[in-house]
Amino acid sequence: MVKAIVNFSHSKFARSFYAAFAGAALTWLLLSVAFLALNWIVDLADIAAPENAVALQGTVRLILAVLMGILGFIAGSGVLNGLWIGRFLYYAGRTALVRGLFGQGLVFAIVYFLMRDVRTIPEIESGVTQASGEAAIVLGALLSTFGFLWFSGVMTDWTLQMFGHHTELKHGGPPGEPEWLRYFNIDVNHKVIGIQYGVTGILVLLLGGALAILFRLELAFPGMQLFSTDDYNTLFSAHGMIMIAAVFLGVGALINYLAPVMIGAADMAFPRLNAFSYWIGVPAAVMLVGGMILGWDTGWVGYPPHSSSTQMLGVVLFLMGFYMNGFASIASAINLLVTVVTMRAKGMNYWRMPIFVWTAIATSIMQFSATQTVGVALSMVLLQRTMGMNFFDPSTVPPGDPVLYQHLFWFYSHPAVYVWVVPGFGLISELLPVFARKPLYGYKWVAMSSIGIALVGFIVWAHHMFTAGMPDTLRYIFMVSTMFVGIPTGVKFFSWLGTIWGGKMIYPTPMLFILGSISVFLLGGLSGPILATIPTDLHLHDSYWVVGHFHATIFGGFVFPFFGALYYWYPKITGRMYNEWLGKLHFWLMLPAFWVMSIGQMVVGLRGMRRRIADYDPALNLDFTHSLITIATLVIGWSVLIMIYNLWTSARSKELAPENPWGSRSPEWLAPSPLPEFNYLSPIEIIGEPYEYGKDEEEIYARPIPAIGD
Amino acid sequence: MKNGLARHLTIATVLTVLSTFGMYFVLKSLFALPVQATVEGAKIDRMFDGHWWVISALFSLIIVFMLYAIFAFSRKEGEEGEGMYMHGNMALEVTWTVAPLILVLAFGWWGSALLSELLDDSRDSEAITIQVDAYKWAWRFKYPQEMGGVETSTLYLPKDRLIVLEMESQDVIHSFWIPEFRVKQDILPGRKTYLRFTPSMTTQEIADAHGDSSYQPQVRCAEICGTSHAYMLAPVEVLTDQAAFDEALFNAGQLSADPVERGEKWYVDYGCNSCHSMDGSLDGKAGPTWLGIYGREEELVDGSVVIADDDYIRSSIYYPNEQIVAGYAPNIMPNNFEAQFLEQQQKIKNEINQDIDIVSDLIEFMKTLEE
Repeated sequence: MVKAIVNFSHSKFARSFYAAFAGAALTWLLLSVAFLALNWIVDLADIAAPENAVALQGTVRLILAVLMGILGFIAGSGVLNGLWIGRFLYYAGRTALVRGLFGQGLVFAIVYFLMRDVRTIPEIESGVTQASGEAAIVLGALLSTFGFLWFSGVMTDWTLQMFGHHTELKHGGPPGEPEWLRYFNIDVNHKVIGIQYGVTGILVLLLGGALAILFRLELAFPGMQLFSTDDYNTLFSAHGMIMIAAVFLGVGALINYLAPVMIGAADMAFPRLNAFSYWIGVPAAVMLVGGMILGWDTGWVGYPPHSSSTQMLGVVLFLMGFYMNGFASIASAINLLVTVVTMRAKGMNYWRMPIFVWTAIATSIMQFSATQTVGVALSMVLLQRTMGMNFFDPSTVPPGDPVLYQHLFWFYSHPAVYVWVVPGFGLISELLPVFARKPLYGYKWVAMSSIGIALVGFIVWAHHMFTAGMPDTLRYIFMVSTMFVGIPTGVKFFSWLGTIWGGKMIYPTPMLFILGSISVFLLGGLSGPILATIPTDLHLHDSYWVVGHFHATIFGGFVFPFFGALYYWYPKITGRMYNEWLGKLHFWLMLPAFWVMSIGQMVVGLRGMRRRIADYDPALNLDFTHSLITIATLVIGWSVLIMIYNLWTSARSKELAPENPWGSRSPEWLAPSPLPEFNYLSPIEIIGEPYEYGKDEEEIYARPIPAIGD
Repeated sequence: MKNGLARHLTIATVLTVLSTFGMYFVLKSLFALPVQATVEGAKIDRMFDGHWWVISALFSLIIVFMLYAIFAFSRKEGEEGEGMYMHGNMALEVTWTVAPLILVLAFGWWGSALLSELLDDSRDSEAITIQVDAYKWAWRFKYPQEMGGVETSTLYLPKDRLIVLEMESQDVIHSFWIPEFRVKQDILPGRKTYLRFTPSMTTQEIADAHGDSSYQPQVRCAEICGTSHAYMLAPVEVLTDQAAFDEALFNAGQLSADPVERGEKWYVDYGCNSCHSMDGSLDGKAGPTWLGIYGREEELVDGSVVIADDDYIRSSIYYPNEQIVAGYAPNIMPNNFEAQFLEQQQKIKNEINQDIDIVSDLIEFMKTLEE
């Protein structure tokens, strides 16, 4: 029975059906966005739109979507493969992405309309207020996640196993289809999943960046020019949450792609769970974008009672999307820890691992053990909104406590920041020795400082609440504990200096990004202690200083190292070399622009600019700096587009990259590029130390295990 | 080679020291704080200064050494070979772990000492305690009974007196911040939070020091609270002395005999102005404008049309969720104005034996706002 359903889902009819769905849904979506932009421009330009414009747009959208649906159904059989649109729809019908989105939409629609109609039964309505309309959205969103997972096929193997069927781990691309199609389907290979994470991460980063540019344009001048304040609030809330998703995806990309190769393993310990971790993020992202469309004005922190009482319904989709992302974090953290503990190559003891793996461990410890509390906090707000359970509203009997949420939220969300930056530190420590041609300075100290940051990260969360109205005793404790983070972080900085001191440095694009990230993270790090000492924080809390500090921390700790890593491992991933000139152009545009942006944010913050405001007091004389920040944001945006152009075009180059272009000792360069299905052609063993650059008698770090008799 | 390394270290160290002083002056000019207008602010600013020094020193240390390394340790054209082979140095590692630890403890001690000073409540009895009511998106300030128990929407303060704010929110979390005063405190529903400060400059002095004699210091809400969060502001009037303060409160407590003037006062006092403009503008306003509102035809969300007459306006103020104008959302306007108005009217009755109807004052005021 189960097997028959699975087989049916791969039948010709089902595929045509999915192609039809892809055509209709994509048309509907693109036209909606186009009409939204059109109406916005018409509104801004004050052009009188015809009375029935909206109705007309709706009709056009419906007709075109139906036509594209029919076209998709025909194209699904492959008869239109001569046309690009036919090919597009044909392959769309063969992707897990489209199947999953269809499942998500279907389940959401069924649950939502059932719930809504149940509400109209009089006896129930009398007891339940308007909140049940929201409950329909929440339950619909919750169950739609399962819709996505089942239809996309993430759960297929597990479901079959439950019914006693034997399932093999399938490796390689889909049979009879082009190789690239596996990146759009459920795949268990850690490199495919790593690339799925990476590409999705960059796309989500572009979306979040586009939102930032929109509201930066609004902030370039005082007064409201482009948006209503509600739209502005939605934009910055969505920017925050979407960028966080992007950074998590980037971290997932790095750890998934690199960690197993670096320890000499063939894959992660739980390949199916690995695929699950990636794919559950897709329906979650859909919810976040849905939340943005409905509008939500709480920021990414979603503090109640504002989040539990706001009329902007997008907040429930935001809470639900955030919640679902948590599953990905927990599952992938367990996966990584098990992989590193059980699957290291022969001879690779913990002190011989590439240093990035240490940061992956530190990150996974945090994700594994802190994510649960934010899940509790988010679900409590959801339950309060939809079920009338009261946790945070102080006006009821017994009273709720609005500050409780903040403790639960930050107990996770502070370590989350370290989840993003610690892998970035790992990249800096990993790449500096290669380009300085020197051993990593103080390997064990650097490794332990990552664990130190992770552990201290658990006892500093309440510094986000220094002005929140918690007991004063806690303020003293958290003031001191917060500053302790500076100590392991200092060890990192000094070790990096020790690594480059006396080296023979060269400066290809990855090295530029790594050095740039040190300077940017320094800016973020040094703007921190002034926020940790409460007397100075009383002025700076919830000001733009915090915005500047935070962006410098994340750009220095994640974005710059991540871009450096993309260039560095590009020849490993694609087997081709990126364009060096464009890479340097990207760097030299982005670094100065970022400095201007971040310092500009700190400057306006000191002068009295509050966070999360749509409009600011012209009397504070912030216009000039705000205009500068906006220009800098645009430059950053363009520079990232240059990177994407570079990576895209270089992948199609015919010329192959050298086998080990950087002269790295790291084991992944022993294997061919791009990496084969199981990484190493034969198992490797570790017989030396990882960073022995410049040693007199050359010492080998890793080598293929010699066959018996050699 | 060893001697060369010592020379490099010496040069970089000297440059770091020089750069520290340079950076300090850059920071001081770049990171200008607003006018400092409280006694507590002076102490906080000293701590800011301490931070600027540490930031200058650490920034110089890392950046100078990094730039110096790029200058001295880059691979020259055609050069072969690898960098110096060294793995680390226990003494150095311990030094750069312990030195920051000492710095952390020093700043922890400084911060704790100053914080306990800022939180000190032993002089509250000689302070003026003002109650702060925050709600979406306006402020109300209530002065002590012995000062007439006046309520205002402007924060009046006397210079050189310790002020204690006793704050509570009526809805969501807000945050009290006057940048010139350097202090901030979130305001919670259902729980009181406190803030203490001693203004050391009058509003006029602040404006002059700001370089713009018309500058108006304001209470600015610093916690996202919805639609009009950006506009949740209240003017701050710091007056030269107790006499001027008493006079300002006396004037604020006076009721005009003209209902239109009274209406305008209520319009500001009860924060109607934060959501309803009087000039037709809708930017950042959560409710319909009052320009030309009286007698206007309004289409409601259910499609019906009403005339904004006395009855409609009264019920819209008392029961704001019942008849919502099309294009606006329910549950945004506070629904306790009836109770607030009755209380205020009773108070006026008790004090000066005058019968006032706040809603009709507001209606008289609306009638003057013609298009």
